[in-house]
Amino acid sequence: MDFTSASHGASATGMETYKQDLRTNVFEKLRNALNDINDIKTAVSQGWVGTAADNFIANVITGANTLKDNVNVIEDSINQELDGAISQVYDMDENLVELD
Amino acid sequence: MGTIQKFTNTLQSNSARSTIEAGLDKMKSGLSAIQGWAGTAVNTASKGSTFVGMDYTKVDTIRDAIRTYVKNIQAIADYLNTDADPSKALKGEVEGAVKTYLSNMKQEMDAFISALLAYSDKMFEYAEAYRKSEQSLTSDINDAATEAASVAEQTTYTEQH
Repeated sequence: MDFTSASHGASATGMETYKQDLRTNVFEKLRNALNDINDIKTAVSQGWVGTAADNFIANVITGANTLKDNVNVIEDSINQELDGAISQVYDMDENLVELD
Repeated sequence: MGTIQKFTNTLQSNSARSTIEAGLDKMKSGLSAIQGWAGTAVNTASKGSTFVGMDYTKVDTIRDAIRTYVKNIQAIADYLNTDADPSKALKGEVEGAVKTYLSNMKQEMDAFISALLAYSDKMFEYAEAYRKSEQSLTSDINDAATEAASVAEQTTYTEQH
Protein backbone atom coordinates (compact mmCIF):
# COMPACT_ATOMS: atom_id res chain seq x y z
CA MET A 1 0.00 0.00 0.00
CA ASP A 2 1.19 3.55 -0.56
CA PHE A 3 0.06 6.58 1.37
CA THR A 4 -2.01 8.02 -1.49
CA SER A 5 -4.50 5.16 -1.15
CA ALA A 6 -4.85 5.46 2.67
CA SER A 7 -8.21 6.42 4.18
CA HIS A 8 -6.62 7.37 7.47
CA GLY A 9 -3.04 8.07 8.38
CA ALA A 10 -0.11 10.48 8.39
CA SER A 11 3.11 10.69 6.41
CA ALA A 12 6.17 12.29 7.99
CA THR A 13 7.75 12.75 4.57
CA GLY A 14 4.56 14.15 3.16
CA MET A 15 4.27 16.53 6.10
CA GLU A 16 7.79 17.91 5.49
CA THR A 17 6.92 18.40 1.82
CA TYR A 18 3.66 20.11 2.79
CA LYS A 19 5.32 22.46 5.29
CA GLN A 20 7.99 23.35 2.71
CA ASP A 21 5.21 24.04 0.19
CA LEU A 22 3.57 26.47 2.63
CA ARG A 23 6.91 28.10 3.48
CA THR A 24 7.76 28.66 -0.20
CA ASN A 25 4.36 29.53 -1.63
CA VAL A 26 2.86 31.44 1.27
CA PHE A 27 5.14 32.71 4.00
CA GLU A 28 8.27 33.63 2.04
CA LYS A 29 6.15 35.18 -0.71
CA LEU A 30 4.22 37.16 1.92
CA ARG A 31 7.41 38.47 3.50
CA ASN A 32 8.82 39.45 0.10
CA ALA A 33 5.55 41.11 -0.94
CA LEU A 34 5.40 43.07 2.33
CA ASN A 35 8.95 44.29 1.70
CA ASP A 36 8.15 45.47 -1.82
CA ILE A 37 6.73 48.99 -1.45
CA ASN A 38 8.48 50.35 -4.56
CA ASP A 39 5.19 51.12 -6.34
CA ILE A 40 3.98 53.06 -3.31
CA LYS A 41 7.29 54.97 -3.10
CA THR A 42 7.09 55.82 -6.82
CA ALA A 43 3.49 57.03 -6.52
CA VAL A 44 4.35 59.18 -3.49
CA SER A 45 7.47 60.68 -5.11
CA GLN A 46 5.39 61.72 -8.13
CA GLY A 47 2.85 63.57 -6.02
CA TRP A 48 4.33 64.58 -2.69
CA VAL A 49 7.68 66.07 -1.62
CA GLY A 50 8.94 66.99 1.80
CA THR A 51 9.51 65.68 5.31
CA ALA A 52 5.84 64.67 5.57
CA ALA A 53 6.16 62.45 2.49
CA ASP A 54 9.41 60.89 3.78
CA ASN A 55 7.82 60.20 7.17
CA PHE A 56 4.76 58.65 5.50
CA ILE A 57 6.96 56.17 3.61
CA ALA A 58 8.89 55.41 6.79
CA ASN A 59 5.57 54.68 8.53
CA VAL A 60 4.45 52.33 5.74
CA ILE A 61 7.75 50.44 6.09
CA THR A 62 7.25 50.22 9.85
CA GLY A 63 3.71 48.89 9.31
CA ALA A 64 4.96 46.31 6.81
CA ASN A 65 7.66 45.16 9.23
CA THR A 66 5.05 44.73 11.97
CA LEU A 67 2.98 42.60 9.61
CA LYS A 68 6.03 40.51 8.75
CA ASP A 69 6.34 39.75 12.46
CA ASN A 70 2.68 38.67 12.41
CA VAL A 71 3.36 36.44 9.40
CA ASN A 72 6.23 34.80 11.30
CA VAL A 73 3.93 34.14 14.25
CA ILE A 74 1.25 32.66 11.99
CA GLU A 75 3.81 30.44 10.26
CA ASP A 76 5.08 29.17 13.61
CA SER A 77 1.49 28.53 14.80
CA ILE A 78 0.59 26.58 11.67
CA ASN A 79 3.77 24.51 11.85
CA GLN A 80 3.14 23.69 15.50
CA GLU A 81 -0.42 22.68 14.71
CA LEU A 82 0.71 20.45 11.84
CA ASP A 83 3.43 18.88 13.98
CA GLY A 84 0.84 18.31 16.70
CA ALA A 85 -1.61 16.70 14.27
CA ILE A 86 0.93 14.28 12.79
CA SER A 87 2.30 13.49 16.23
CA GLN A 88 -1.18 12.53 17.45
CA VAL A 89 -1.76 10.24 14.48
CA TYR A 90 1.61 8.52 15.02
CA ASP A 91 0.92 8.23 18.78
CA MET A 92 -2.45 6.66 18.07
CA ASP A 93 -0.84 4.18 15.73
CA GLU A 94 1.75 3.24 18.36
CA ASN A 95 -0.82 2.77 21.10
CA LEU A 96 -3.79 1.31 19.24
CA VAL A 97 -2.69 -2.32 19.26
CA GLU A 98 -0.80 -3.70 22.23
CA LEU A 99 1.42 -6.70 21.94
CA ASP A 100 0.09 -9.71 23.67
CA MET B 1 18.54 129.12 6.05
CA GLY B 2 19.59 126.61 3.40
CA THR B 3 17.28 124.14 1.73
CA ILE B 4 18.78 121.19 3.56
CA GLN B 5 18.49 122.85 6.95
CA LYS B 6 14.83 123.73 6.23
CA PHE B 7 14.25 120.09 5.28
CA THR B 8 15.94 118.85 8.43
CA ASN B 9 13.95 121.24 10.55
CA THR B 10 10.74 119.99 8.96
CA LEU B 11 11.64 116.38 9.72
CA GLN B 12 12.49 117.19 13.25
CA SER B 13 9.23 119.03 13.82
CA ASN B 14 6.81 117.16 15.98
CA SER B 15 3.98 116.79 13.52
CA ALA B 16 6.08 115.38 10.64
CA ARG B 17 8.18 113.20 12.93
CA SER B 18 5.18 111.74 14.71
CA THR B 19 3.52 110.99 11.36
CA ILE B 20 6.59 109.14 10.16
CA GLU B 21 7.17 107.28 13.43
CA ALA B 22 3.52 106.23 13.61
CA GLY B 23 3.77 104.97 10.06
CA LEU B 24 6.94 103.03 10.83
CA ASP B 25 5.27 101.37 13.84
CA LYS B 26 2.32 100.30 11.70
CA MET B 27 4.64 98.97 9.03
CA LYS B 28 6.57 96.94 11.59
CA SER B 29 3.42 95.32 12.97
CA GLY B 30 2.16 94.62 9.46
CA LEU B 31 5.50 93.11 8.44
CA SER B 32 5.61 90.82 11.48
CA ALA B 33 2.38 89.14 10.37
CA ILE B 34 3.89 88.51 6.94
CA GLN B 35 7.13 87.27 8.44
CA GLY B 36 5.11 84.88 10.62
CA TRP B 37 4.01 82.64 7.78
CA ALA B 38 6.95 83.44 5.52
CA GLY B 39 9.33 82.57 8.35
CA THR B 40 7.83 79.12 8.66
CA ALA B 41 8.23 78.54 4.92
CA VAL B 42 11.85 79.75 5.05
CA ASN B 43 12.68 77.49 8.01
CA THR B 44 11.21 74.48 6.26
CA ALA B 45 12.97 75.21 3.00
CA SER B 46 16.26 75.68 4.81
CA LYS B 47 16.15 72.02 6.00
CA GLY B 48 17.46 70.85 2.64
CA SER B 49 14.47 70.35 0.29
CA THR B 50 14.50 72.55 -2.76
CA PHE B 51 10.72 72.57 -2.40
CA VAL B 52 7.93 70.94 -0.41
CA GLY B 53 4.37 70.29 -1.50
CA MET B 54 1.68 67.93 -2.68
CA ASP B 55 -0.04 67.49 -6.05
CA TYR B 56 -3.65 66.87 -5.07
CA THR B 57 -4.31 65.16 -8.42
CA LYS B 58 -1.85 62.40 -7.42
CA VAL B 59 -3.50 61.48 -4.10
CA ASP B 60 -5.78 58.90 -5.70
CA THR B 61 -2.81 57.37 -7.51
CA ILE B 62 -0.99 56.98 -4.20
CA ARG B 63 -4.10 55.46 -2.59
CA ASP B 64 -4.49 53.04 -5.52
CA ALA B 65 -0.86 51.96 -5.12
CA ILE B 66 -1.56 51.13 -1.47
CA ARG B 67 -4.76 49.25 -2.35
CA THR B 68 -2.94 47.20 -5.00
CA TYR B 69 -0.17 46.41 -2.50
CA VAL B 70 -2.76 45.09 -0.02
CA LYS B 71 -4.62 43.05 -2.67
CA ASN B 72 -1.39 41.44 -3.87
CA ILE B 73 -0.51 40.38 -0.35
CA GLN B 74 -3.98 38.99 0.31
CA ALA B 75 -3.82 37.06 -2.97
CA ILE B 76 -0.69 35.28 -1.75
CA ALA B 77 -2.41 34.37 1.51
CA ASP B 78 -5.26 32.85 -0.60
CA TYR B 79 -2.95 29.92 -1.31
CA LEU B 80 -3.83 28.62 2.16
CA ASN B 81 -7.43 28.25 0.97
CA THR B 82 -7.01 27.14 -2.60
CA ASP B 83 -3.77 25.30 -3.31
CA ALA B 84 -2.37 24.13 0.00
CA ASP B 85 -3.19 20.41 -0.05
CA PRO B 86 -2.58 18.53 3.20
CA SER B 87 -3.56 15.17 1.67
CA LYS B 88 0.12 14.41 1.06
CA ALA B 89 0.62 14.57 4.82
CA LEU B 90 -2.65 13.56 6.45
CA LYS B 91 -5.62 11.36 5.58
CA GLY B 92 -9.06 11.06 7.10
CA GLU B 93 -10.99 13.49 9.26
CA VAL B 94 -7.82 15.14 10.49
CA GLU B 95 -7.12 16.22 6.89
CA GLY B 96 -10.46 18.08 6.82
CA ALA B 97 -9.77 19.63 10.23
CA VAL B 98 -6.40 20.94 9.01
CA LYS B 99 -8.04 22.45 5.91
CA THR B 100 -10.58 24.26 8.09
CA TYR B 101 -7.81 25.47 10.40
CA LEU B 102 -5.80 26.86 7.49
CA SER B 103 -8.88 28.57 6.09
CA ASN B 104 -9.46 30.28 9.45
CA MET B 105 -5.80 31.30 9.66
CA LYS B 106 -6.15 32.80 6.19
CA GLN B 107 -9.10 34.90 7.43
CA GLU B 108 -6.97 36.06 10.34
CA MET B 109 -4.22 37.06 7.94
CA ASP B 110 -6.70 38.94 5.73
CA ALA B 111 -7.76 40.94 8.78
CA PHE B 112 -4.29 42.07 9.81
CA ILE B 113 -3.17 42.65 6.20
CA SER B 114 -6.20 44.92 5.70
CA ALA B 115 -4.77 47.15 8.46
CA LEU B 116 -2.40 48.44 5.76
CA LEU B 117 -5.41 50.15 4.15
CA ALA B 118 -5.21 52.64 7.03
CA TYR B 119 -2.32 54.25 5.11
CA SER B 120 -4.69 54.92 2.22
CA ASP B 121 -7.02 56.73 4.62
CA LYS B 122 -4.04 58.62 6.02
CA MET B 123 -3.25 59.93 2.53
CA PHE B 124 -6.77 61.32 2.29
CA GLU B 125 -6.39 62.97 5.72
CA TYR B 126 -3.01 64.51 4.85
CA ALA B 127 -4.36 65.99 1.62
CA GLU B 128 -7.28 67.45 3.58
CA ALA B 129 -4.85 68.87 6.16
CA TYR B 130 -2.89 70.60 3.37
CA ARG B 131 -6.12 72.06 1.97
CA LYS B 132 -7.17 73.39 5.37
CA SER B 133 -3.74 74.87 6.09
CA GLU B 134 -3.90 76.59 2.68
CA GLN B 135 -7.14 78.29 3.68
CA SER B 136 -5.67 79.41 6.99
CA LEU B 137 -2.44 80.68 5.38
CA THR B 138 -4.41 82.52 2.68
CA SER B 139 -6.43 84.22 5.38
CA ASP B 140 -3.24 85.25 7.26
CA ILE B 141 -1.66 86.60 4.09
CA ASN B 142 -4.79 88.52 3.18
CA ASP B 143 -4.81 90.08 6.65
CA ALA B 144 -1.16 91.05 6.26
CA ALA B 145 -1.83 92.45 2.78
CA THR B 146 -4.70 94.55 4.13
CA GLU B 147 -2.50 95.80 6.96
CA ALA B 148 0.29 96.69 4.55
CA ALA B 149 -2.14 98.56 2.31
CA SER B 150 -3.50 100.45 5.30
CA VAL B 151 -0.02 101.40 6.47
CA ALA B 152 0.92 102.50 2.97
CA GLU B 153 -2.18 104.62 2.78
CA GLN B 154 -1.57 106.25 6.12
CA THR B 155 2.14 106.85 5.73
CA THR B 156 2.30 107.98 2.12
CA TYR B 157 3.29 111.58 2.22
CA THR B 158 1.70 113.86 -0.27
CA GLU B 159 3.19 117.17 -0.95
CA GLN B 160 1.18 119.97 0.55
CA HIS B 161 2.55 122.80 -1.56
